[in-house]
Amino acid sequence: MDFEGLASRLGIDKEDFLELTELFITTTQSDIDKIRRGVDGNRPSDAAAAAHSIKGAAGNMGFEDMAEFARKIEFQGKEGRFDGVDAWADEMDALLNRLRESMANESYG
Amino acid sequence: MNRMDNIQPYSVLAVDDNLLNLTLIEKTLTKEGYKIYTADNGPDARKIALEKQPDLILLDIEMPGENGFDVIKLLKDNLETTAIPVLFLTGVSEVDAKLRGFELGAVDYITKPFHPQEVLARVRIHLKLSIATNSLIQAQAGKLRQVTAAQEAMLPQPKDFPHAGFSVYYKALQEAGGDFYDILNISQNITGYFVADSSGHDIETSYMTASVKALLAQNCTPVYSPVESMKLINDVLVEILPPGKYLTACYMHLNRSTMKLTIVNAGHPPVVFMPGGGEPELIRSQGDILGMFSDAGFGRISLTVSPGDRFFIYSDGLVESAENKITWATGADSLLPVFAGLKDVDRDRAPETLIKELFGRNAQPEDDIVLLCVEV
Repeated sequence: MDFEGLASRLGIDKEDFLELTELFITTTQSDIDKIRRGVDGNRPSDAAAAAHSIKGAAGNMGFEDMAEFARKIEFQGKEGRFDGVDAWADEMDALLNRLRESMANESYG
Repeated sequence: MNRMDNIQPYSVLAVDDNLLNLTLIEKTLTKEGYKIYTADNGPDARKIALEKQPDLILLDIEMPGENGFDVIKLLKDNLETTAIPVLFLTGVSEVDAKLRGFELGAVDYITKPFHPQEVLARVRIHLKLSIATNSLIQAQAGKLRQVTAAQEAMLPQPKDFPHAGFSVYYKALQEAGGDFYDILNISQNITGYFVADSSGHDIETSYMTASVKALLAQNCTPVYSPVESMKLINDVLVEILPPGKYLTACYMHLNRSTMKLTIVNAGHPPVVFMPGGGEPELIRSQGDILGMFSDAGFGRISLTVSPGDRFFIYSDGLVESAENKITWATGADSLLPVFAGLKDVDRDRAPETLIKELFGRNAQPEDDIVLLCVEV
């Protein structure tokens, strides 16, 4: 992953971007868990709120794919539906894992 | 205080329930020299705004519990935080939210997801606007203070008129006061004392004060009787004053050679007369206001006076209270016992003593006040 380029796009240095990415991984994992609990407990508004939070943070960081899945989940949640939410949450988990791997490579690289 | 003296950075309060957004804003703005306060909920944000008085607030709309709309409304309702500019953070498609934010007093919005450099640019723009607005307010206040100084320079001081035998208390509630007085050396033994209260406290009023001062100098001469002087001044004022502007006034003419005193009243509160060592009484006389009617008639009373007699001319601020619905027509009577307490007070200290007696040491009068004490 091109952390240098992503940091440059935001006008901040790479070190700060990596620190923010660490924070992003932690908060987003927590929000994905909230989405899943919202689905399990039949609380679509909880899922929508957590997705809204991911959408904003991912959008700000430039993680467009993640922001797009979050947008879809938020929309469904606000409509009171869960269609596709499980699959999109899985996709977000996968993206988050890839981000973790990239961060690990960055540390060792 | 000059910020540069203490290198005091501009401060921004960022409010967002999303920790990552807060951190991103904090990092971006801190590096550019701003002091950042953060809050992840409405009540904490309002508490920080009140305590720290930030120069600007970035406020997320969508927050659990007290949302951004609730927060901005409460900030704008509080006098201590109402002037702090608020920029809100909102989704790009949320037109209603943007409009509602503006209605509630926000100065701008930033769409989410936001770019940190856009946040920085908008913070800079709105701080510049805020600085410019504050400078404008300071400049305007400075000009008004100059008007006050100019107006006060037009008010004669007892030390400059040693033969006039007067002392005075003057207090303008606003920068451009509506009350005015003048002392006129008509001849070696004749002195004129003029007190007026004009309608309004604006800049126009201060120009009116200058005009009246010039008219008094021109028309209060040995050639004219006191009533003639007032009629001449009235005729000019009727021509030059804008609609709705007028004055109430009292002109007292004292001839220390003949010991004759004449009071001309133009819709003004009654003069208080304190015979040397005697009880105070009101000298009432009817008269039209100045500057409104070309055929105005003024009340005129003449007295023979003795050394030591005192006369108090004052504006309605001394007796009137809008709060307590008191007008000078009824309020003046209640003044007499207070004046009675001034028998043993020096002329120079009499006005100040009376004001303290009436209003207490710290109470704020509701209107401008001029109180002139003249001793024969």
